[in-house]
Amino acid sequence: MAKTEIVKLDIDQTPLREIKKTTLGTGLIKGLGITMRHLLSRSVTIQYPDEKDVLPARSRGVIALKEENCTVCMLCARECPDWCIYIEGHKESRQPAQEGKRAKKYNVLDRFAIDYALCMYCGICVEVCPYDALFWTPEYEYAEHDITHLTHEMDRLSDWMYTVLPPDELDPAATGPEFKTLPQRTAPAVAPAPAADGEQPTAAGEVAAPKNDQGEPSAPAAAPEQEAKVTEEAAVAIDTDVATGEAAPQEEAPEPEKEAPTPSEPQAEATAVSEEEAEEIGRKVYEEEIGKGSDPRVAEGRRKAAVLRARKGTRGPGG
Amino acid sequence: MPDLLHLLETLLANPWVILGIKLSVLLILLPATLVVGYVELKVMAHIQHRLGPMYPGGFHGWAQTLADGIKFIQKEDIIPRAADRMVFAAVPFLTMMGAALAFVVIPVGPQWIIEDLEVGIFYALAVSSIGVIGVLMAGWASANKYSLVGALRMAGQLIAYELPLVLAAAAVVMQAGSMSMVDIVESQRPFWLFNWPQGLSFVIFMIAATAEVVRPPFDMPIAEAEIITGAFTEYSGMRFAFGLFAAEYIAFIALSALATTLFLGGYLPPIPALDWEPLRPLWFLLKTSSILFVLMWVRWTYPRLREDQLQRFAWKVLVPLSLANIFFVGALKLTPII
Amino acid sequence: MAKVPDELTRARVTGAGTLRTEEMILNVGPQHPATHGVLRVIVTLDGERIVEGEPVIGYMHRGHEKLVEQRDFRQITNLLSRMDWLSGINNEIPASIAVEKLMELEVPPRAQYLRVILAEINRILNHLMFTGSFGLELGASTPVMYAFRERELLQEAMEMVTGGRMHFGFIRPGGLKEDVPRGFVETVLKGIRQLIKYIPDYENLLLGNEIFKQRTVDVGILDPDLALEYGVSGPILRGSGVPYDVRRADPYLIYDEFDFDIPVGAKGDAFDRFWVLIQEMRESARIIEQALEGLPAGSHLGQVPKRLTLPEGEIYSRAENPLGELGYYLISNGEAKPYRMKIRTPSFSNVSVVPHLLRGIYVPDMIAILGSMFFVVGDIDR
Repeated sequence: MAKTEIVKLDIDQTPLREIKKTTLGTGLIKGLGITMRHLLSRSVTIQYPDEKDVLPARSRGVIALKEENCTVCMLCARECPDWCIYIEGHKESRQPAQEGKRAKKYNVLDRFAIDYALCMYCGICVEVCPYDALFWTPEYEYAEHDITHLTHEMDRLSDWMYTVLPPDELDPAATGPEFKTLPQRTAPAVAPAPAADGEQPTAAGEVAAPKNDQGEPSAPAAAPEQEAKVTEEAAVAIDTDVATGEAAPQEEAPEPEKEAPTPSEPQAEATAVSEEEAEEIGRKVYEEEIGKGSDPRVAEGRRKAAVLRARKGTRGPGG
Repeated sequence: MPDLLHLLETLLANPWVILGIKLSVLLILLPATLVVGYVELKVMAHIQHRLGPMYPGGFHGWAQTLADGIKFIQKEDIIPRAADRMVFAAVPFLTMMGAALAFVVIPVGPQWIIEDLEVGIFYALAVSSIGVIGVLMAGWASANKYSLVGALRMAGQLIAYELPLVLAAAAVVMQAGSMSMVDIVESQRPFWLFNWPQGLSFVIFMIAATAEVVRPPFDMPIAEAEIITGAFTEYSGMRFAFGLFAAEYIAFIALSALATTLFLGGYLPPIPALDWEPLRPLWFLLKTSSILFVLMWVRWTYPRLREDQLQRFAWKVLVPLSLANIFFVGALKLTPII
Repeated sequence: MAKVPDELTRARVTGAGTLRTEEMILNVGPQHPATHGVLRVIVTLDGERIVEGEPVIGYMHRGHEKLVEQRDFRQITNLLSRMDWLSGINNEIPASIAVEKLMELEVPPRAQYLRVILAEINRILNHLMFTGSFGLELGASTPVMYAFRERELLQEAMEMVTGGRMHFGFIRPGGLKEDVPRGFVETVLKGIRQLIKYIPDYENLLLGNEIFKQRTVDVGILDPDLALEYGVSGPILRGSGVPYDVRRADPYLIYDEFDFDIPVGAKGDAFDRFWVLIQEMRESARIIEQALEGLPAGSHLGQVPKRLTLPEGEIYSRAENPLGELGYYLISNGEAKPYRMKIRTPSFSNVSVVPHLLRGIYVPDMIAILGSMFFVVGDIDR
């Protein structure tokens, strides 16, 4: 075998040679110093389950199903690499609007189950759903003793919806994905102008709600939100097969969003409340729900939803 | 009432009763093992920037080692079919006894010693070598070729490091002029802190002691990649808890206590002014604890030495060094310095 | 003291004739605390010395190359992260590049920068993991805890962007799945700064430690010719003195725009390989800082058709995985699913050179050598 030519480079080998030299015990002493330093500093442990880490909104904990949006198109079941989504549905007919017209057929969802023992948490189903019926939530505490209980049926999947967090704001420099039919938007060069925004601490805007319920809404975020909002709108309008920029937000968001993308003034200050009042409302809702006999997770989810609504000043379904 | 006092007096005058009381002091070794084990877990955890046991017992998990002990008790007692049953079962006795017997001559005060033998230090070092026989017995009786290899390695290591240990102690005996432990402590009055002639002996003794207890960085025989736990692989449950775990910690405490007595002045206070009778055990405890801490600190900082490097270090570095040390101390003894 | 000539391994004992020593076959089995995962090494021992060592692989074969023949590229990306689970995004990037080159898709600059940032973060995560586990195998149980502490901040950044901590599934042909959230840049910078602050700790605790040096210097010396013959790549090759890095030799993404050095070892022993690993972390941090500074505004996904039907053809795309050169040879016959995808993994070639390193050494050295070969069993077996 021919000897390979090792190209001589100007790489400085002195650090390597220095550190490789035999020393007489100074390395040992330095090592002791490092461990002593750590011994005297505070530990970084988070004591689970008494303390829990706050996970980002995109965390892939468990998948939640929004039944109302599902049209049994079966795209998620088809795209799943593990085939762990089990969907059953049937067709029903609707009365025609006028006499003599054909009866419209629509799909009804009978069974929607995800087998989390098989699921590889890739998120393709969430990404591919054209009607935004699937969402990621950061919940991870659903371990079971029996593996068959790891198949979550429709009711359980719907319950998970109460734990879905609104998506994080995008980086200000982000614009949406490139679409052939839309003129390309550019990122804002300057921080948002409307002075009104700075004076409204609670009008956090429609799309980019705070990272978690306890986080402060960020005030100077109106303009990038507008951009994200615009591309969102456009994305929703366009072919939904292509991957969109971000997961769709919760149900309240589309209504205020459909209005013109103006600064958030005319929106919601009428009913937007302060932080403490929002928390108070949330507490009341929670107690109400528990009083009615709901599951504590459901009550928690409704509490969070009520707090968010109160903060933004939007109305919930049914007022 | 006077009858009761009279009874008590006659009892306490009986030498057998006194011996019984003294030996029962050794029972304190088992709870001591639990405490030292727990401290080791906490020190390890904080060095690694984490918290360690927090749950058992509630307050920072103080009952962790106790819970481990209870867990060991309820384990199945397995003896391999091909093993030599009598020898297999006898091993934990040897390892624990060898370590515990050294406590007979450790002074916690001038009269607070179980028996102040005239050959105190000689006895302590001799008795701590009984453990080597225990290890060899364990390796042979396990009927497992990997255990045998591990046992031979461990025996080799213990024998190799016995020499620097003894030679370092010999330097102390030379300076003190007596082998009795109490005499050695008393000879370090009043300024044991500045006992500079024994500085090198101290370091050699500490290194040899770490190797004697088979702790990192000298733990190749037990934490071997191919032989998990080496000679003691076949030991489970209470045999393991007593034979390896407890015996190791007792030996650890024993050697630290020996080091305190030989080099750090035993029960002497840091400054002579604080020499008050009831405080003496406290000084002893503080000094032993600091040695235990330093050995724990060293354990969690360094990787393991390979077996041949271990042996080379013992025979080619430590033994010549300790011989030179004896020469040096002997020369000093001839001068009026010490 | 790693290699001893064969004559000295058999002894003539006076008074006992020639001792016939038997060679013992030891199975460092698939389940073992010292090998990373299910690698089996059949070792023939003569006393304390290894006469021959043979790694047996295949215990983790999951049929990746067959699986990808039935799936389209979004699913393939998710499957491929499971090959070398410590490298994360770096497994997905060459696959996407292969598709992009075949279909001639343009990737917007922002997506390229973000890909580089994510890839380098994963390189640091991988190297931290091996730093910790190498120390653990040698008996130093503290550096592994420190390494995991450093990993946490960077994994937080990855979770913030992709939602996962180990398997990401984030790279799509044409760019990324989503754009990064607000706060990503700050989190990454915080993680990098903490890493740079603590790398000297690893250097002092491990590289500078005399006991560590005794265990790793002159142990497992890999001859550069032998390494090149077997196709070894990555930090192991660079530890032997060959300055070969795919990011320089065949730049993919936009690596030619960044200024970084390639650490190269001198002798090829375990110490050099480990030193290269730690220095590479520093270089990755440099790349990330430069990329974050130059991160342009823009879109995260280029113009990609609805259905990704690959044109007929074949292409080999490769990248510098943290463990070495990862290559995908993609043959397509006009459908959305690949006709054949041959995966060239770095760990397979790296481990194939192990028998040469195991001759004539002590058993504890075998542990040190296996630890310094930096392989992931999922990568060997696919």
